[in-house]
Amino acid sequence: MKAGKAQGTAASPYEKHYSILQNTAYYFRFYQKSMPVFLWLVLVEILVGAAAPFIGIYLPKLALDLVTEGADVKRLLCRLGGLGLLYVLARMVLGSVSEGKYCLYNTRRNELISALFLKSLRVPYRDTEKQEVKELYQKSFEAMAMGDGSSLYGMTYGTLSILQNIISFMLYSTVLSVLSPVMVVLLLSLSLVQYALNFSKIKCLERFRASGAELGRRRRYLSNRVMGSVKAAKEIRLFGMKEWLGKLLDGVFAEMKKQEKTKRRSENVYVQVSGALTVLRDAGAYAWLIYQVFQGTIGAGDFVLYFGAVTGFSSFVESIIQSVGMVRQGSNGLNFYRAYMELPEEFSEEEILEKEVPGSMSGIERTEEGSVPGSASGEEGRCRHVEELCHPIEITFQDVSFSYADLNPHDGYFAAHSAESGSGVRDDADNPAGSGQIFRHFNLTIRGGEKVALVGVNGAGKTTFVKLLCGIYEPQEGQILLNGIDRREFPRGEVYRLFSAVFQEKFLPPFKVGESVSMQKEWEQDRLWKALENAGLKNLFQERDITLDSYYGKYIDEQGVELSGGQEQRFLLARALYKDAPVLVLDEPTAALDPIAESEIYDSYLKFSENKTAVFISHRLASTRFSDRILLLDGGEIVEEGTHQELMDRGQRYAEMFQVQSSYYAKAAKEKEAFS
Amino acid sequence: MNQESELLERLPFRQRLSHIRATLGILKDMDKSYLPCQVIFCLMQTGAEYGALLLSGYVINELAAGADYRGLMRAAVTACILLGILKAGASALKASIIVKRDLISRRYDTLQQEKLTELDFSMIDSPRLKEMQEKIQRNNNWGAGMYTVFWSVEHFLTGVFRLIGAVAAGIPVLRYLGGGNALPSACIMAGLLVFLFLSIRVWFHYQKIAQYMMFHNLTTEEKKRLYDYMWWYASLEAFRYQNGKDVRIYQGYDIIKYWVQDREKTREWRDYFVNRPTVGYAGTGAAQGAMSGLGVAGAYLLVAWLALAGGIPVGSVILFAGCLANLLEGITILVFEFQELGLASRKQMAILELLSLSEEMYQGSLPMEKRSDGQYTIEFSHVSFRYPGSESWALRDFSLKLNVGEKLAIVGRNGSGKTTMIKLLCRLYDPQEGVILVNGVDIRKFRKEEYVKLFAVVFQDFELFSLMLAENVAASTEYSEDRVERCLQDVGFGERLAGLKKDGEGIRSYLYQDYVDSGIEISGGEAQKIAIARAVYREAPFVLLDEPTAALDPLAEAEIYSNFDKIAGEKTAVYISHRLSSCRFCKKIAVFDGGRLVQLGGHEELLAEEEGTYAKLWNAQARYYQMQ
Repeated sequence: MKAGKAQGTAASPYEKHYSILQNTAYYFRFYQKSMPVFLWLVLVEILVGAAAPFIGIYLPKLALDLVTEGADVKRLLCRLGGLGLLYVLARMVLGSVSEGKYCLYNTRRNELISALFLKSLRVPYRDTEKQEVKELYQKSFEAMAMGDGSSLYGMTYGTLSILQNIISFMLYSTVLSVLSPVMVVLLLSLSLVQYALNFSKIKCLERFRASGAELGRRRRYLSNRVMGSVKAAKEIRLFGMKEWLGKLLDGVFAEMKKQEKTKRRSENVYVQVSGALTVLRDAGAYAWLIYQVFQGTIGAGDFVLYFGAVTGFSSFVESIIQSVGMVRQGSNGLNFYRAYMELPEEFSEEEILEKEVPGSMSGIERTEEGSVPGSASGEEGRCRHVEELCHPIEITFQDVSFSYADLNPHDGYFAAHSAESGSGVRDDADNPAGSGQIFRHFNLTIRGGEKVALVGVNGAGKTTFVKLLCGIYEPQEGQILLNGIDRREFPRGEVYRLFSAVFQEKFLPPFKVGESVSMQKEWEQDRLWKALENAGLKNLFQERDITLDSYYGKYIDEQGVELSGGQEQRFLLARALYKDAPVLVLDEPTAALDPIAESEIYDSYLKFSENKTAVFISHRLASTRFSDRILLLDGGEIVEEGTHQELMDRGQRYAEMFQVQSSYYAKAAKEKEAFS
Repeated sequence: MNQESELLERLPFRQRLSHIRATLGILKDMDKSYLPCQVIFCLMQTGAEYGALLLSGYVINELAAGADYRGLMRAAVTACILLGILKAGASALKASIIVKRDLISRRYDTLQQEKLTELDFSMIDSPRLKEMQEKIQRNNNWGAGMYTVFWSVEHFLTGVFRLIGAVAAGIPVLRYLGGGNALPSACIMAGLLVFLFLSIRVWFHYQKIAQYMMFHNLTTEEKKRLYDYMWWYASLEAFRYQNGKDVRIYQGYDIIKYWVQDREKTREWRDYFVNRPTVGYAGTGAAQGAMSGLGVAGAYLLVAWLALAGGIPVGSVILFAGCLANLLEGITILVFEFQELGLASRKQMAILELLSLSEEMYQGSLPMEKRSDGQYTIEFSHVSFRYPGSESWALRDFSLKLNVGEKLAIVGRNGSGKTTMIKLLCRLYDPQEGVILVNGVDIRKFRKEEYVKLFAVVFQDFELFSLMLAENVAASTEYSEDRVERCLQDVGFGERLAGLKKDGEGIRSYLYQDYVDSGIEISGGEAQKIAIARAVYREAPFVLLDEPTAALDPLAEAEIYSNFDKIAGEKTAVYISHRLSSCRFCKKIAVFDGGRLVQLGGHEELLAEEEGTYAKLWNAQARYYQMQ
């Protein structure tokens, strides 16, 4: 990683160690930018929140004073009624502000989350595959995801409460110091002891956090991903797994229970000592105040007031401790978030949108952007534009080396996905066990307009090749040339414009059909229909009354469009056709299709790749044999190349693979000949 | 029904009560001691509160009466210590209550999922269950699930005890009433109550506004304008990072941004999600603040008034005002919390409905005859089947007989009913028409759990779990190590296993890293092999393979096939594949088209029917190879 060293203290770009103060400032600026009124509401809540309970302990004092002095009705109404009214008013304001700001806070939280997600689309794709980055995303998301446990909540509400309680603390100290400064000092030191005690309690409980999280993860895995999974339901029934899973789950719960018990036992000491101190304080305060009244220093009203103030102290301390905990946790969460938001970008939001969007969260990142020198592709010479390239486009790999060494082989994400997809379709099919180096000084030229097929066993490097080709990956060494020009001289967004690619994982977002095909907010109606027609979907859509404004999937509209597997492939074909880019790339999208559908799809692609450069990958060699050139890839090297006929004549690896697949067909054919 | 959520409609008192009762019933089922502990805790806590109130009243009265301060101090200190002990007891109890809550709530969250493993498969996949799950999710979207219930119960009980305490502690003070000022004080009291009830009404009004956004179901038209995918995408539930490739290549950033972020920029969105609920929340907050403020301020005003007129002792002012404030607060708490508890309980009804589902499939009682000779025949007789909620037949008038040791291949286009047939055979679904017979007996008459033991299945979309390798193979916590290893060897996993034994934990290794961090990574082909090993471990008389090699390259595929004979051996096997060449070891090939069995026979026989589906499928693949 080259960049992302916004704060010099962190060694890794995936870790940030901003202080609590810096993080508070971050959120402050965020609110200021995105919803300044929120800050005013917080200010009101702090002030009124400190004042209201103070009025609350003054009420009984005033009542007693007035009763003792035998005030008349008018005075009673004026003084006590007035203060009472003020109290009611304060409580109303406090109630409306503290409740009312919740939705505002929540929308801000959502804005942070959506900004995080959008950021993940701007960092280089290669980075999003890295284990550290995926973990960082997960942590950042989790830091914001839990409504009232989020980083934003912790820091906003925690800071608010700390300030409120500090003001209260000062108010009460002032009141008490009128009576006796010594008393205030005593109470303060008692509070400090309690603070320290509580703090050690939290520290002591922290020991259990890791193992608690572990148990939680196991419980969630078993219950949500296994028992609750529709996909696993077949196996659970047919293999009678209920008992097995139930036993594991019971084991997890038993351990949880055990842990809770230990936890309670170890926190007990702190709770008891702290409780004893409170008793001591209350009893002492009573005795002392009784003595004062007896001495005639204070009256009955003051007695109530001071006692209220004394007991108030411990609740402030408790609140402050709790809030400090919230703030610290929130700040930790924000450090993940900021680390992610400060990752280097492939292109900035402005570049993509080509216009400023005022008031968006991107403003916050922009402050750090100075330290983010674009993507791994050096952008110094970024002056060329893809419009200047003649079609069809020739692509040259020159001395290209590429390695996955920076990908963590123990990769929970791939695991999750291969476990989910079951059939084992993995994005990193080329890198089964993190083997590392895929290409070493690899050279290849795909001529303009050439149809190239790439074959090879799993793990040969085909998928990696496709990603390098499209500009999803950048080689670590060597260069990739477009019509002889180094690709890095073009802005990456423009490079992407040259490719229509269909990858193994289908991406069919549940937007409007037009949006989902074009992947744009606005589309050309006629061209889009044409693309659907060429993809063989127009008739189906017209039969079913599907328009471009219909929604894909049933999330928004119950009448939404649903397609079968083969139709989905056509949908993706339509997307590639609509884009009509000069280079067409297919990464084995048809594995799950029946033979007729597969051959239809390949025929369509072939038909529409006229005048285009095209690269096909398929396991079924029959689908690729009509290409101009077949490349057999093995261990990151082209071991054989030529037309189908040439390779067959050579009688080596390709021929062997072809034999394996075709033996039966070939045999049948011979028999057929024999019959006739 | 779609317009407004049922959570927004008002329910009769009795019905709310029955929801609450049902919810407390769940609590009781999961932990009998929870509710008693909660009651005792509230009692102790309220007791300590009143103790402190009585103490201050007593002290002030005694001071006013000029009692000896030493005696008074001693009494006060003793009382403080006693109260301290009470409080310490309460907080110890509370700590254990919190632990209980944690465990109950986690167990409760898990109940649903556990239930899913007990239901018919047809239910799991049905629109009805999906609707129920969506409802559960929607209902629990706002609020903290069972925790809301816990809190409400605690508050409600506190309210009850405060009321009782207020009456009990306030009675002695009543004797001071009845001085000349009964009427005005009664008027003030009445005024307070009227104001209180007005505030409650205001509170209800705003609460409804606040809840509108939470519980109102968007209509389709509203969804088109307001719905966004922020959560769904950002949580990576609906978006995998791999999809980022498409977003980049097709420059879809704009449209994604529109659907996850820009929708909030419309006025209507802000009105619905921000402005309106904010008004609602602020209104409820203000009403609540007014009520509790009024309770305290009004109580002191009233009591001071009475004291000045009727001579209540100074100390009793504090006591009486405290009781009165508690009385008023108690009333509001009861009203609020009954409402809260009612709503929180009602949200649990969807879960209770799910938990009360039972299997609907016919449950036979015949024991499965365990034949050591493995002599089984399977017969489909005029079987027709439609998936729940679907209008078209997935399988239509399907008949087929399969004898022991036979190998049947099934071919056909996507959606022609191949997988459906397997699902029916395993009783994941029952056909609507026709019967399936094993040894001449309707399969529904067998005990299901015994019946399914006849089959070892590998599905196209098989699942392995991030659990122990051996347990994955044996599908149980108990397994025979030798047998597990043998099965893994048989399917060609031996090499990797040797590696695992050498520098890992062998068959005790965990797969992937979802369950434990130290789990191992396996490739798609290896996963496939483990799934097949699991089927082999079953030692079942029937082997059903549903296209297990779709994602493999030709060589890996060939490897699996070469092991297939070993796996299937003498057993009866049904094999589905898109690659027709892989059906070669099957004497009998069944060709499906549009849910019907259209052809049945050997390869040559089928190919001879030139217009047949088989010939078409065959030629689509074979034409390339035959040109050889």
